[in-house]
Formats: sequence, structure tokens, C-alpha cells
Amino acid sequence: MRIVALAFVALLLFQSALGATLFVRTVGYLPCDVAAYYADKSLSGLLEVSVPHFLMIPLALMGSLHLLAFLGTLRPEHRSRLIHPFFLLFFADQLSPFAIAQGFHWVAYLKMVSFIGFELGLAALWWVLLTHTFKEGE
Amino acid sequence: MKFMVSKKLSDNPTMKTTLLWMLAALVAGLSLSVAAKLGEYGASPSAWSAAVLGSEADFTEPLGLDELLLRVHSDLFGLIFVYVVVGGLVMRLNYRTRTKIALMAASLGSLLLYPALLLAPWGGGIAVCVGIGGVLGFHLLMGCYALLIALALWKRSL
Repeated sequence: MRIVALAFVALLLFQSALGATLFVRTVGYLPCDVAAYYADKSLSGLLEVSVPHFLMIPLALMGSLHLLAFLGTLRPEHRSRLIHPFFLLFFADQLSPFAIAQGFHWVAYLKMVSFIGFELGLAALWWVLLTHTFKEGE
Repeated sequence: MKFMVSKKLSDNPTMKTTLLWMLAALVAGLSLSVAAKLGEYGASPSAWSAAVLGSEADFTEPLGLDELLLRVHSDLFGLIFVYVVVGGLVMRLNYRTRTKIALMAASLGSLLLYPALLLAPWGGGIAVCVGIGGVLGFHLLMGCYALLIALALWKRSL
């Protein structure tokens, strides 16, 4: 079971790293790059990217976050409070390009913050889950 | 996944919160997917046929079998995962077994109609309407089931 959990986390981490690399290479890493990239995108172009993300990332998030239920070191109410920021960042990350394309260029800052926050949050979550798994043998 | 074996999901705050957020994201994803399909093919059966089979009036070429295969293959990949996860939760709803089987059969049937789009080069407009109607119906059913599951979680009956 530990090997499967490790493989799951390693694959998701690899996939996230690929996503971050793709983002930096195609969009850029400054808010002005992000605003310029999404300002020229058509609705169909935005949907082409966001639909697969909206269908697959919630499943990956559920697969990761439900493992929090096994963390005995956290109280149940604290565990469920940890879940909200992940999905809020996900929604902000995925929906902000639509706002940028509508002319709200300042949303590029929100896009950057939510994207980086989401990736770092996932990395932290997997680190906690992995270390707990190997320490406790659960 | 723990939700398959947990006795009562709504009693576990972690599972309940995770599943409610996941269902909200899936409903948003399914809505965006429908918007993408309507943008790609149009909003009426005649527009679907013109988009897939081509139209002399609009100077559009028909979509080739390879293009149709690529679209159906990449769409089915995500939709099958959605079906399995939502289906796993539907089977835990507090309904009669026959009702749950009927719900799952209806959604599976609509999903399996989508590959009829591949028959468009031979079946013409009928195959196009069956395929695109099927996948849009699947989105609608999955959205409704997700709302039913969210309601059951909210009312603590799941």
C-alpha cells in the first residue's frame, strides 16, 4: 500500500512539475506576461484548456485530500478546514483566465498567486502525507 | 478510495468536505464542457450535422475519421473517470437498488452513444445527432446525479 501511495504522489508531483514548466514556457512568469497571454485567447481556446483540468484535477485532489482522514495527528475539524483553500485556489486558478480575457487584466495577479499557491500547497500536502505514512506505517 | 468503503460518509467531516468540493468542481467542469461542445458543434441538430459533415453553404469541410477518433478518444478518457466516481457515490444513495441501477444504466447508455459519432461518415446526420445528443445527455445526467449526491451529503443521508 505504501508503494502505491508513493507512486501516486510521485506521479502527481511529476505531473504538477510538468504543468508548472509548461505554464512558464508558454505563458511566462510575470503578471504582465499572463495578462498579455490570456487577453488574446478566444473562449474556445480557454475552454480547451480548462475543461480537462476541471474534470481531472478535482478527482486528483479528492484522491489526495481524502487521505487526510487517516491523519490521526490532526483534529477532524482542522482537517476539513485544510480542504477549503485547495479548492478555492483551484477555482481561482482555473476561472481567472476567463476574467483576464474579458479585459480584467489585474486578475493576472490573482492567477499567479492562485497558481503558485495551489502548486506549493499540493507539494506541502503530499510531503505531510508521505512523511506521516512512512513514520506511522499507515 | 475511502468513500467506497466508509460506512457513512456524512459522519466524516473530511470526506464530506472533500466530496462536496469535488462535486462542485465537477458540476462546474461539466457545465464548461457543455459550453465547449456547444461552441464546437453548435446548439441545434442541424448545426451539429453541418459542423461534422461539412456544409457547402458555409464552405466548411467534413471532419475526417481521424479527427473524430481523436475527439471521442480524448473526451471519453475524462468522462469515464467522472462516471466511475459519480457512479460509486450514486450506488451509495438511499434509493431502491432498481432505481440506482436504472440511473447508472441511463448514464452509461448515454455515454456509450457518443462513439456513434465515429459512424458519421457513413451514418450521416443521424449518427451525428445520436453521438452528440448522447454525450450532452451524459453531461446533464452526471450534473443532476452530482447535485443529488451533494444534497444527500448535506442532509446527512449518505
